[in-house]
Amino acid sequence: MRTSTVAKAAAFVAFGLWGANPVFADSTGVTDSTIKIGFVGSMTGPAAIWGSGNMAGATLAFEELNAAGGVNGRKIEFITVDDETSAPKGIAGFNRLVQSDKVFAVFGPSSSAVGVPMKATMASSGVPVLIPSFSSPLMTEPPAPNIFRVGAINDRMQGRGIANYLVNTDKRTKIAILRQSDEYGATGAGAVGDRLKELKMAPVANEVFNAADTDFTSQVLRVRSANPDAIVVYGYPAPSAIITRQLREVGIKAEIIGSSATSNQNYPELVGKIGAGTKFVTTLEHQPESDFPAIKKFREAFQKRFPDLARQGRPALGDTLGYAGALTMIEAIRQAGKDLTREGYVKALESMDGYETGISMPTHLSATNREGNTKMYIAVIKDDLTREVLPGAIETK
Amino acid sequence: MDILQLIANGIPAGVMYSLVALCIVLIHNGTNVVHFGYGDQITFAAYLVVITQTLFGAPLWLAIASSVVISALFGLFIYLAILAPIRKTPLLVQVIATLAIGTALREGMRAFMGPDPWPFPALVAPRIFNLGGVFITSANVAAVAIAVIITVALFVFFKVSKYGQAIIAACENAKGASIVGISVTKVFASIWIVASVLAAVSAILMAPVVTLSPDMGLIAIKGFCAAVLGGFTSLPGAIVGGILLGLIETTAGYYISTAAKDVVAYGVLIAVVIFMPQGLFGKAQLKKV
Amino acid sequence: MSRSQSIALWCVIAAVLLAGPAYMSTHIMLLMALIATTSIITIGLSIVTGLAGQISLAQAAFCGLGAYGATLLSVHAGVPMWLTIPVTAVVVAIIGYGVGVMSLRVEGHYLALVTLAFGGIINLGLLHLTDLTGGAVGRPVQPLSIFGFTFGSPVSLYYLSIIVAGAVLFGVSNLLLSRWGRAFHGVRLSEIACKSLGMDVRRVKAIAFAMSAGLGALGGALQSLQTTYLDPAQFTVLGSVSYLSVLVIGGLRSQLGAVIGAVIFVMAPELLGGFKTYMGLMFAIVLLAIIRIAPSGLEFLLKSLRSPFGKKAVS
Repeated sequence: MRTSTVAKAAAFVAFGLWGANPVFADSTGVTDSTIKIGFVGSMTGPAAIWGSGNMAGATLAFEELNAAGGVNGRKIEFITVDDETSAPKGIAGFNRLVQSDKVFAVFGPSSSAVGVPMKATMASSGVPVLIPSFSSPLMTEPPAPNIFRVGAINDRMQGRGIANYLVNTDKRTKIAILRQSDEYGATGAGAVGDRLKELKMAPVANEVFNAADTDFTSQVLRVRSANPDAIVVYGYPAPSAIITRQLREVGIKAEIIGSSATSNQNYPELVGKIGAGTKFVTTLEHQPESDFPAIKKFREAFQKRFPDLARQGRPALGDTLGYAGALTMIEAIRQAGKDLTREGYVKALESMDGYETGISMPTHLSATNREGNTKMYIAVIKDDLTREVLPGAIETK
Repeated sequence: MDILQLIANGIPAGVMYSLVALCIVLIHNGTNVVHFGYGDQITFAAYLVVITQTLFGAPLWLAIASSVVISALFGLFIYLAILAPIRKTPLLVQVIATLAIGTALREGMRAFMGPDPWPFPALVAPRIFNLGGVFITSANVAAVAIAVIITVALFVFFKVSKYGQAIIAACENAKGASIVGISVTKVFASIWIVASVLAAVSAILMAPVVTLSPDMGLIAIKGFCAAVLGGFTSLPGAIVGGILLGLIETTAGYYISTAAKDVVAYGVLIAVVIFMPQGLFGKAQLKKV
Repeated sequence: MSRSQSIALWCVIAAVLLAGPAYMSTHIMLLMALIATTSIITIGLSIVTGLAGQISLAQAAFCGLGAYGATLLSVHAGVPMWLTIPVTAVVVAIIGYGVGVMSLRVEGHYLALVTLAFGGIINLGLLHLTDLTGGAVGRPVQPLSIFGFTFGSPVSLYYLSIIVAGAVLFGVSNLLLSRWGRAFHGVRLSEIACKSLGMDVRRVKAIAFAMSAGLGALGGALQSLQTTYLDPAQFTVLGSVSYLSVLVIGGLRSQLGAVIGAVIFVMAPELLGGFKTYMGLMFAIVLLAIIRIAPSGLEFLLKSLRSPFGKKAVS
C-alpha cells in the first residue's frame, strides 16, 4: 500500500474519531424505508432482570409499529447487543452498534453497573441515547447533550420522594434505612438520608446488605433495637423480600416501604403472606396486571408475542418500561419529520412536555433537562397479595 | 437477648451450609473431585419443582418427587458422561469441568426461566413460634429437623449397611476394594446419585427461605468454607463446620459489622488452611507423589 | 516450519498489526485492544496454572488490584500513570509471591478454594473501603499521559495494548526457555522429584504466582484505560473462572493458547450472540465438549508454529 494512501486512510479514520463535537445534523442509519436502532442491554449476567425486559418491550413496540406501516413511511430495524452485565463489553457493544452497524440512535443500556462506565463513551460518540429504565442519577446529572432518560425515576429523586412521603404524607418520625451495598442502594438511600436531613430529621438506623446475601439477622436485630415506626428497604427484589420477611419474623411492626425494584408483580408472592401491608414505589400509575385499558392491551399483546415469557409471569416492570420507552422514541422520531436527522430527533425529544404513552409516567424534557420523569406513586400490597396504587403522585424535585 | 435470636437464626443458616458441605465432602472422598458446580445443581433441582408445577400443573408432592428423580438421573449423567471419562486428566481440567457444569445449569436456567426471582412453595405452612422473646420460624425447624434425619440416616447407612461399608471401602482404597469384588464404578455412581438426591432436599429447604433465582447456587461457596473448617475428609466435620460457620457469621455480623460478616467465611477458610489444614475433624492430608 | 520461516511469519503478523488503524474500524481496533490486554492476563494465568500446575481462581482479583492500584496511587500520590502502572504490577507481584508461599502447604482443590477465598476478600475490600475505592459506585480511571500526550483515543489505546502485549509475549516466551521454564514444568509434573533434585519447590511456586499476579495486574490496569471506569463488580470470581475456562479451551500450557483464549473471551459474544440469552449455556457446553474431546485445548492444532527462538520448551 502506498504511503499516501495509508496516510489518507489514517487521516480519515482519525478525523472520524476525533469528531469531538457531537455532529447531529446527520442521518446515519436512515434510509428511505428503514431506520436502524441499536439496543445494548444486559441479557445475561446479574442485571439480566432489567435488560431482557427492556428488549422484549421494545421489540414488541417496534414490531407493532412496523406492522402498522412504520413511522413517516419508514420501518424500524432493531439490532441488539448483549453487554453481559460487563462494562467493557457494554462499551465494546455500543461502539459496535455505532461504528460497525451505524445505527441512527441507541436504546438502553439497562443497568447502572454497565451504564455509568459507558457514559463517557456514549457522550463523546454524539449518537442519541434513550435510557428506558435504570436509575443512576449520574446519567443525567450532569446532562450530556445526547443522553436522555424516560419512564423510570432516578434514584436520587426516588429517595427524596420516599422521604417526602414518609414525613409529609405518612407523618412518620422514626425512620430506619436498610440499603443495598451497591450504587443503586447507596444513591437511593443516600438521597433518603439527605432529604431527611433537610427536614431536620435523622434516620434511627442505617444498615447495609449485599444483593446476594440470604440472611439478614444481624441487620434486622439492630433495626429492631432502634424501634422505628417506618423502615425503608432500598434494594433488589430477592434480598428485599427476605429482609421484609425477617423484619416481620422478629416481631417488628413498623411500616415497610421498598424501592421501585420491588414493584415487580411477583414480589408479593416472593415475600409471602407475611408481607401484606408492605408499600413500594412505582413509576407506573397502573400496574401491569391491572385492567386499565391501555395496560391490558399491552399485556395481552405481550403475552401473545412472547408465550415463553408469559409463562414466567411477565410482562413485568422492565418489559413495561421498555415498551413505553420505545413508544416515546417512536413519537420523537415521528415529530422529527420525514427529513430525519439526529439533530431533529434530539430537538423533538427536548420539546416533549407531557407526552403520555398511556402506560408510563408522562415525559417532560427540555433543552436543559434530560430526565423525562420526576414523579412517582406509592403502592401497597394488600392482604390477598394484590396491589393497589395509592392516589396522589409524589413530586420529587 | 439478641444473642439468643442470633443463635436461633444462625443455626438454621448454618445447617444449610452443612447440607452443602456434606455432599461436597461425600463426592470428594469418593471421586477426589471437588464439585464446584454443586450449588448450581441445587438451584437446578429447585427450578425442576417450579417447572413441573407451572408447566405441567403437577401438585406439589409430585413436583418434588420428580425433581428428586430427575436430579438423581442428572447426577448419574454427570458422572458417567463427563467426570468419569476425564478422571485421568489433570486436576485443573476436572475443576474446570465442574465449574462448566455449574455455569451451564446457571445460565441455562437464567435463559429458560428468566432472570427474575421466582416464588417457591414452602414445604410446611409458614408459622412463627415465640419462645420467650426468641422467634423461631417453621422453616427453621424444618431445616434443622431434616438435617438431623439425614445425618442419622447417613450414619446408619455407612456404619450398618453392607452397601455403605462398600462405599467407605472404595473411598479409602479403590484398588483394594475392587480386588474384593466391589464395583468401584457402581460405588462412585451411587455417591453421585446420593449427593444429587440431597441436592434436591437442600433445594426444597433453601428455596422458600433464600428465594429462587439463577444465582441461588452461589451460597455453595459457604458450603466449601464449612467443609474446609470441618476437615475435608470428615462427614461429621462437614455438619459441625456448617453450623459453626453459620453461628460465627451471624454473631460477627451483629457485633462487628456487615462487612465483617462477608469476610468471615473466606477468612475462616484461609485461616484454617494456614494454621490447621486438617480442619476440626479431618486427617492430615498427605501429598501424593 | 524452519526457524527463518517462523521469524518471517512473526514479522508479517507484527507488520499487519502495526498497520491496523489503516484498515480497521474503531470497533475492531477496540476489540483488538481488548484482546491484547486480556492476553496479558491469560498469559499470566498460564504461567501459574498451565505451566507450574497451580490452580488459581484469583486472577480477576489481581487484575482488580492492578487497575485500582494504578489509578488510586496516581490520584492520591500525584504520580503519573505511566509510572504507577508498572509500580503497581510489581507490588501486586509481591502480593502474589505471598499467595504463592501460602499455597505451599496445600494443593489441588484446596488451592482452588484458597485462591477463591483470597479473590473474594479482595472483592469485598474494593466494595467496602468506600472512602478509598468509591465502593460499589466505583470511580473513573485516571487517564495515562506521557510527555503531554494522553492515551485516550482508540488508535492510541490500540497501539499501547498491542505493543505491551507483544512485549509480554516475547518476554514470557523467552523466560520459559530458561531454567525458570523448566523449573515450572518440573513442579507441575512432580514436586517430590524436584525436591529430590535439590530444587526449592516453595520458591518456584511462589515465583510462578508472583509472575502471574504481576501480569494480571498489568493487564487489568491497561484494560482499565479502555473501560475508563472501575467498579468492584468487574473483578469477581466469575471473571477468574472465565479466564480459566478460555485458557483451557485455548490451551493451558502455552502462551499461544493463552492468546487464543483471549480471542475467545472477547469474541464469544460476537460469535455466540445468535443464541441470545442461551449464550452462557452454549459457551459452557462448548467448554465441556472441548474438555471431553481435546483436553489440551485448541492450541494443539497450532503445534507446528514454532517460537522464533528455537525449539519450544518441554511440553
